[in-house]
Amino acid sequence: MENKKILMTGNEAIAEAAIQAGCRFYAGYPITPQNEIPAYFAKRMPEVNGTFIQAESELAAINMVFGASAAGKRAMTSSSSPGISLKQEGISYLSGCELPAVIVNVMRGGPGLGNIGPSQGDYFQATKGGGHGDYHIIVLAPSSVQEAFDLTVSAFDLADIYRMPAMILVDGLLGQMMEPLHVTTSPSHQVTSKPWALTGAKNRKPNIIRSLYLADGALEEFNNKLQKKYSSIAEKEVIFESYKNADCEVLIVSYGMPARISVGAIDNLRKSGLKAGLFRPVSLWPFPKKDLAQVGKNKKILVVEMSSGQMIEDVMLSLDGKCRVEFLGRTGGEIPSEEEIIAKIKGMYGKNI
Amino acid sequence: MDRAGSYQDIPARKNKMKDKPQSLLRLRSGQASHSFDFAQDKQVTPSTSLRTSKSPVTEKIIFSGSGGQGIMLMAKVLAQVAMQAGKFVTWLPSYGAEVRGGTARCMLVISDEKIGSPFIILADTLVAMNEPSLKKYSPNLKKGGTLVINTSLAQAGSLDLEDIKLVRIAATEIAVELGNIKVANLVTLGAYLASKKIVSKDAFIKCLFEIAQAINPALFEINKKAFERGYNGKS
Amino acid sequence: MEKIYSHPKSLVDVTTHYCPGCGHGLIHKLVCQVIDELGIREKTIAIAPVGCAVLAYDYWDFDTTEAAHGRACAVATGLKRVQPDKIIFTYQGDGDLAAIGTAETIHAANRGENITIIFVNNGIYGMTGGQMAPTTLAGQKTATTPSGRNPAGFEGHPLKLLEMLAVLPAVAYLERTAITSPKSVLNVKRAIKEAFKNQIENKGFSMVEVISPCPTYWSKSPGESLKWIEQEVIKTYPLGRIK
Repeated sequence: MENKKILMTGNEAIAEAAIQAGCRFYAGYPITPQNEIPAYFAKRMPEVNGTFIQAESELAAINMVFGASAAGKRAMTSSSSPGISLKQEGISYLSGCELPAVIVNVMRGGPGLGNIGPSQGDYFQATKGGGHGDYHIIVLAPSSVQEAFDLTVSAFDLADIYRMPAMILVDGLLGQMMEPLHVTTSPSHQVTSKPWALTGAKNRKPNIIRSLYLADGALEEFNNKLQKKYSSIAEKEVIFESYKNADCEVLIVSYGMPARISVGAIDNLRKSGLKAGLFRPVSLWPFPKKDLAQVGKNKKILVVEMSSGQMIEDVMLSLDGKCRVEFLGRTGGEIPSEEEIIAKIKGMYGKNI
Repeated sequence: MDRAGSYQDIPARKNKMKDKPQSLLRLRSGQASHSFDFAQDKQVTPSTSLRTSKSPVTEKIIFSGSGGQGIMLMAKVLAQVAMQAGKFVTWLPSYGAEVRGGTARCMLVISDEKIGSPFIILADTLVAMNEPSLKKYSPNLKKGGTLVINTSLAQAGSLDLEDIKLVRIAATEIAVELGNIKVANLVTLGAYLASKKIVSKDAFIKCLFEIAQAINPALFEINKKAFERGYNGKS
Repeated sequence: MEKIYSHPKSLVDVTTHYCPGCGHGLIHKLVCQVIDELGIREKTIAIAPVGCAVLAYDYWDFDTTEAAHGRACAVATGLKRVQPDKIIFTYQGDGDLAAIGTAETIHAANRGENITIIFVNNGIYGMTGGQMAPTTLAGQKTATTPSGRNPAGFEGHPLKLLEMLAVLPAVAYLERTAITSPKSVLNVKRAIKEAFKNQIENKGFSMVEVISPCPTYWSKSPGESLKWIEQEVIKTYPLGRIK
């Protein structure tokens, strides 16, 4: 693909980004609203001599990814909320074994079978563990098709550099919509050397991939090592976006599609003299705590999510009780509108906060 | 336990920004910036010569009809044309179980400015290819909006059309006359673009040609005829 | 005049959402007729699948639960063990029963759970847009096998779950049927009745596979789909009693 602009859906852009990043292994399972991802790979992987597998379940798929990753290869799986729940054991294992992988969650309404509408109800699952044990995965949340593409390429790089899973967290709206996209052909920044990979113990000591540490104190030592790694990532790999928030009085904190919808609301409010702005976390883990604390000082805060309020807890922690935080949320596959956001902010101006 | 090849082996670089640790990813890729600049992202920059007035133009269109009438495709063709004309575009289909045998709808937003929500609550234009979809989506058409209606399969009679600009086209009949009922969607697109010239006729036909080349070149002629009939046509 | 045929009582009298030519409507009717004729409606509990029949409980006038995708046989096990006098049946598609649910199906069968399984095999994933199923035929084009399913290319052979379950000693009854003609429909009903009767008589794990058409994702008309079953599908999936 040349460096021109084409129309592509979010789902397909993520799949193509994986190909561009050198991913040659994908295992997945059908679930709405991410079916376009496995269907795209079914066509595209043979073109690049890669492997596409429709696994028997999401659980099998994450374990296939584990295998491909253990061999040192870039591997991806995708699903939507209920399927991501199935993958949690595998994600914990990938984390404990320090294996890189990219997992895509195209969120739908929940809990349970829910519906196929867009949602952001898996924030806790993605950023606070989801699986068992003391681990984190890198979580990136795009809000445009172009960003979904770019962040997917970055996710492979980050997963390799830090030897851990990375997740692309989108909602069904971004997965299904089409927008112009520049497909880059510049190679991503491959970690070429993976001496830990299982490639056959020729001329070297055998490599072992394990997360089991039975010796006295060994597991604590390993956990300390993981935590050191996570602290380093929290210092270095934070990504966020600011929109007209230097002089704003009301700060919207939002990610993914609601953040994008907020931009329209902000422009509209500014026309009537109300100074609103946006702080958009792009890395949900590591969460941009310090940057938000700085930007949010002395401002009225409105968190907008397609959930009953999950990221809001991280926002409150970052602001350390120094500002009052209001919330606007929709659940069940419903999408907050510009009008709702505008009305909420106008209401906030009326109050004495 | 020594683990060779971990992130700690990556050589440290001189820190240009004091007290700000460098992202290992950005060290490798040479990017300096920590955050995205929304206004500078790689979306298409609109061509300023297309602006006809000081305030930016946004057109929100809901295309609707039954599954099988080519609703998604007609919106996709227009999206492609608009993108090539330098506009911002978002295209959002109805998906999943909603589509099975019932009404299909596609939301298309075309703008000179970056687009916020692709989800349209109140449309500037509603294109209704059949009666059930007209009934279902007419509440989503704003006052003063445009209603493009396929009169072969839908009648506007029962609706309150005060303040609505009505564009009528017997799209299905014209398509059958041309020899292929499936091109009713292109007939309708022609009628729409004649009433709201958001892209030029020539730009549309040029883009249609490119799309046909990619899918099936033999389809170009009949689709072009269908579009022109709609563009020049009467109700 | 005596009424000799009417809408089954257990089948709710509403229009279903299924595609034209889909087999689900017909199979729902047969199951409901059997439940009416055996007089078990008030002690029947059904488990609906994840698949096109996910909303089956809108069409059935008896207790029904959803189950996570593939887990119906495990849910059925729980329901039956605590209420052995109730009639528990699952209604599952090919993905639900033979892909993600393989382990649950095999182990419920191996334990000899006294339940009834209605397995609707249309060789494709309809609900999610036409992806490959474990029972998709070799060479069949689907959304995830765009060049046709290639067993030699690690895409698997059509899975014959009934034959696999036949080796399990605790399984009581396995039969494969198809809906292709009025005569075959009567045969499907007979098999379904036998499977429910076995549960009433405590005979053990009983499963009826019904080969069913999916005109939408087979890209065939309803009539062509029935012919396709008769002429092609039955070659891979022969009909008859397997255990």
